[in-house]
Amino acid sequence: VRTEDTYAGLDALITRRGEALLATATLLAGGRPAGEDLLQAALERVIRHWRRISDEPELYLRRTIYHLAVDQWRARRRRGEVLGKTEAEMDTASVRAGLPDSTEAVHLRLALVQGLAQLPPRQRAVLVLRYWEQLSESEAADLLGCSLGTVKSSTSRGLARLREVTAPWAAQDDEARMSLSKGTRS
Amino acid sequence: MTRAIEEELATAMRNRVAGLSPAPDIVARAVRAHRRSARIRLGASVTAAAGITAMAVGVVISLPGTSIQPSSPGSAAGPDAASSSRPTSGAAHASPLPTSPRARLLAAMTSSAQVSYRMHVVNLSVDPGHRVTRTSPPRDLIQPYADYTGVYDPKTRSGYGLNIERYDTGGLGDPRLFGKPGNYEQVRIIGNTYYTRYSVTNSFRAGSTWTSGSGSLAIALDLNGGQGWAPTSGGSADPAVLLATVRRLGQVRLAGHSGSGAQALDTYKFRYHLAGNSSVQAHQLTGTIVVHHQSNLIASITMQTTVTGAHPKIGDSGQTTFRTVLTFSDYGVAVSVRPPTAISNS
Repeated sequence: VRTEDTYAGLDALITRRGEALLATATLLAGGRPAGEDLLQAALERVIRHWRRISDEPELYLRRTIYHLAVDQWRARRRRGEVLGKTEAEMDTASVRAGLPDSTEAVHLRLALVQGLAQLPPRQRAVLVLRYWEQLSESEAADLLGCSLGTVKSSTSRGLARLREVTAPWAAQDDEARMSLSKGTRS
Repeated sequence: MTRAIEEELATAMRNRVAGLSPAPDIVARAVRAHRRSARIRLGASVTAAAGITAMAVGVVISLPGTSIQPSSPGSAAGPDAASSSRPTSGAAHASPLPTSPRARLLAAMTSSAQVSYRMHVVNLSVDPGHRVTRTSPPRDLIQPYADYTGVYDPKTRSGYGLNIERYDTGGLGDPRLFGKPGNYEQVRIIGNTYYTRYSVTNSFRAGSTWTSGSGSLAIALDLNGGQGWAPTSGGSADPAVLLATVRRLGQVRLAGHSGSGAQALDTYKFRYHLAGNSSVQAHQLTGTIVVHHQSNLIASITMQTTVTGAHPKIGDSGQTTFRTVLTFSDYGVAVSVRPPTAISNS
């Protein structure tokens, strides 16, 4: 496959921004293999329209990743994919990221990424845009091509679902605070 | 939780993707897939169509819109062959089986389509001589799509089973993982609705959410990578659709007989010729159907097609082979399945 000439710009883009794009795709698809499939599917779409969009490929690619994740990715394989890393992987990732996490925090975050992977695609995409890409609600709406209201409601519902998933940790926190409070009083 | 869930989520996402980097050949693969997508459409739909039909009714071969070679002289070709071989239920044949290979195979298909069964489905593609990077040695890239074991009852159009999603072999992944299970997928089929849920281990948490969709088991499993689905594939459990499908059989011949008594097996070979078009060269789908001689019920179906681009000099010159193996057993097995309670709307 000859890529060096025709799609040299795309190669350069992936070299420069591939990690961030794969990270987004992985979060949207729920796992590394599915994320790579999603990124590749988006690249295929970009290649199809390369002549038209080669001036601004990253914008088009990012938009395509989100649109595929929300609208079409369900039709492809590996819908569920790997739901999250193992605890050991999470521990390793935390250490690598320099985060002095407790076991509870690791479990909580594992539950969060698993919960994220199980959300409906649009809710998942909105949460990734808002809390991974740090986009504003209006920016997220623009990228997804939906209304501001849809972003707000999807964010609200997605977070509500994640709160349900992480309720056991919230309960543990409450108990810990209560025991601490009792200890202080006595 | 001492921190807001938004903060925890952001941290969890950062941790989740820390250190990920795309495969160095991802653009090359995308280009390859882009060039291949047009030419595999025909081949994939052929294999998928056959797979759909096979899994839905225990029978293969559906080629809507393609011309089929007439069967060889002397065989009971055409609609008369199906009507002359009355549907049977399992081993109890009310009348002698037809003698021509084609008619006998039609009878086997019809019989098998009326009894519940257990099946094992393996579906994959092979890209021979694939290079992961420009400098890496060529090796076969094997992409498994399904390794499914389950039961199905054509009468109630329902079934259930477990699919193992295996890692690719020959790609960029860790060679120690080649072909190993990556995900487990539980599947339920009820009518035209499928339900799936996933786990990274072969144990599923009670109450975990299922995803539902519309379509056959073949669609639930995303055979052939979910590419090339043909809406007119004949993937129905309706015996009328089945018969209409098998009447379009290509060339069939009795290739051999083995075993004796209850272990006796008849082996049939079939072949379709498929015309080329603007994106794909002329090619053919070949297959083998093994039938239990005594009961005339299908034991296994193997089929494959290899697709090459119509213009290899300006497109991708590589070939892709799609292969499906279906094994049937436990005819008459009880099949009881209900819709799951926790279903995602996604």
